[in-house]
Amino acid sequence: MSEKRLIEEQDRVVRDALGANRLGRRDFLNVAAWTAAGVASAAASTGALAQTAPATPAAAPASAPPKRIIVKDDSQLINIGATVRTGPWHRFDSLVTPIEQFYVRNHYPTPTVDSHPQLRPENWRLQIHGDSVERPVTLTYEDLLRLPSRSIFATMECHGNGRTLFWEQQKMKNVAGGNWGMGAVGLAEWRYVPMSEIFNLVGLRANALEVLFWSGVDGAGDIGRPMPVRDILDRQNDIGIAFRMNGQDLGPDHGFPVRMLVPGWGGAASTKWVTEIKVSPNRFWTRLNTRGEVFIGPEYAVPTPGPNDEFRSGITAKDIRGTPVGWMNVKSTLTVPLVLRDSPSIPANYPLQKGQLPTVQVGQRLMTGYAWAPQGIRRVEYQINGGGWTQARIVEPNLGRYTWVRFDFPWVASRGVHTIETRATDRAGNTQPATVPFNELGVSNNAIPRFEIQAV
Amino acid sequence: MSIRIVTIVAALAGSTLALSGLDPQTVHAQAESAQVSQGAQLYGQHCALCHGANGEGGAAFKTPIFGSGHQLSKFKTALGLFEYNQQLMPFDNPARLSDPEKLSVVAFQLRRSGLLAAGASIDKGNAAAVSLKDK
Repeated sequence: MSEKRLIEEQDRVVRDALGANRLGRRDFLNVAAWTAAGVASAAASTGALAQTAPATPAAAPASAPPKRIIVKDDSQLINIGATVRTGPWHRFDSLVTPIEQFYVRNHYPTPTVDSHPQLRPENWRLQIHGDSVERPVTLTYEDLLRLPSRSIFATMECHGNGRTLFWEQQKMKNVAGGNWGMGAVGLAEWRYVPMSEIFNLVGLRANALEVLFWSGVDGAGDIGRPMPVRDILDRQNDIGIAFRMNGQDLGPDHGFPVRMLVPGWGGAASTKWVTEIKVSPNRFWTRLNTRGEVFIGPEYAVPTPGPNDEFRSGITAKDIRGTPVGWMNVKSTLTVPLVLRDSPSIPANYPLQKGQLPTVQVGQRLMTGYAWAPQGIRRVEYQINGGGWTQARIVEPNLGRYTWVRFDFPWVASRGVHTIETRATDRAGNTQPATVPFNELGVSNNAIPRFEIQAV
Repeated sequence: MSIRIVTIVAALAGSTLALSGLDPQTVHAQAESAQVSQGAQLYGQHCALCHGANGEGGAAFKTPIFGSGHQLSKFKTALGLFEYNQQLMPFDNPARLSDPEKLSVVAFQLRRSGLLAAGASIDKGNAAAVSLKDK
């Protein structure tokens, strides 16, 4: 048989097998998730909003390696697949997010000191170099800890957080990615050596254009992302090299021993397990600012690389597909799970089944939520059944820039189905929009979320 | 040992077969190995929904995982790709396929990326020797 015929035959087999899943595209994944992962008790009418049963880890196959994909106890997180866990936002309660509720967006299984001895503090090295530094250095962990450090309260959020809204509210089925819901965000206190100290140490040359944060450890060696030098210089005391989270050493899943911290930007900028910082008079192109972590769509430009730009890990100019993501935007959520009808998948231990509504007991309720923006939150409003916007109470403290606030409002729930929307305004005056433009990877959706709730 | 025999034995074994000294990238044959055929079937059943029938992206993932524009080189060898799939795929439940089944899918991915010749198969023993650099 000729090569062409062989390939045609394979295509036929693939398409037949795909088509044989007669349950349909969306249902297939749901069925797979529900049957295989052994999921989740439906929310009973307990009077409170539906609560998640603790996740039951899927039974490992006999041949599976003993390694854990996520190191920390992830039973409080919602498993949206592979290396990705979203926070249980319907159960968020505290101002500072407990580590066990802090989302994880890793591209590969968590590298640990056992799997990667170079992550042991005594072995770890950070190379800071490039054509735009006067004095290249290599820091040890002890060196880093001896440098002046600061602490900051900052939300960390995945750009994909809220992707669910593209499917469920904007009917944009061509968006691809993990089904985060509203939980890929958390607030932590970070301790870090600010970039101002690093720049003092190495001496920044006038020609510096971009800074690459790179992990020589994570996965297949393709994890890292650049930032324009001017964006760092604007906030060089806020951006830095972090080594503590909520008063403890970083956990393995969060970058132990050392990660970058870029408050206000999506989590992709805050490279975990960082081992190299390169400052150059050229731009950098990596997987995470070309094919991934970019806005791809008719509203977004595709940048053109310069002749002297550096490409990493097999990326070429033709991989550049859209505008790299950067700043996050103003968002809000209730602590209520979203109803999933049109999502391509339902997380294995999601608290609701497909199409199921969360329930609340009729009567006087206190609804709670969170709102956040890089500039800090000025105001949060809510609207019930389209009846006009009312201001919610912001729960002190409001720590301002980079942080979220909790908010609440009373609601007398009558029997039946209700829709509650929330809308935040940041300190620069930006308010959440009704919809956001399409982008293929479904990033940075900060549209006003709609929460359907059944009062029983 | 002729390739015809390799193919027949592989078909009888129904799953994986070591190539015992044959370079998997230089084997030529008139038919697919049973492993690659099984990989195509499994790919259609368990992977194509998210990754597309042609590997160039589907309902949940847009980066090509075989064929034109694939990024397999980041895994360096077939073993690296297999280990990734072993731990992490299928996305919703990595326990849904066995190791031999995942190896079949990897063989299919390689075959469709010009990295494995018709009639060839891979196993855990030789996978580390199969480079994923584009030819």
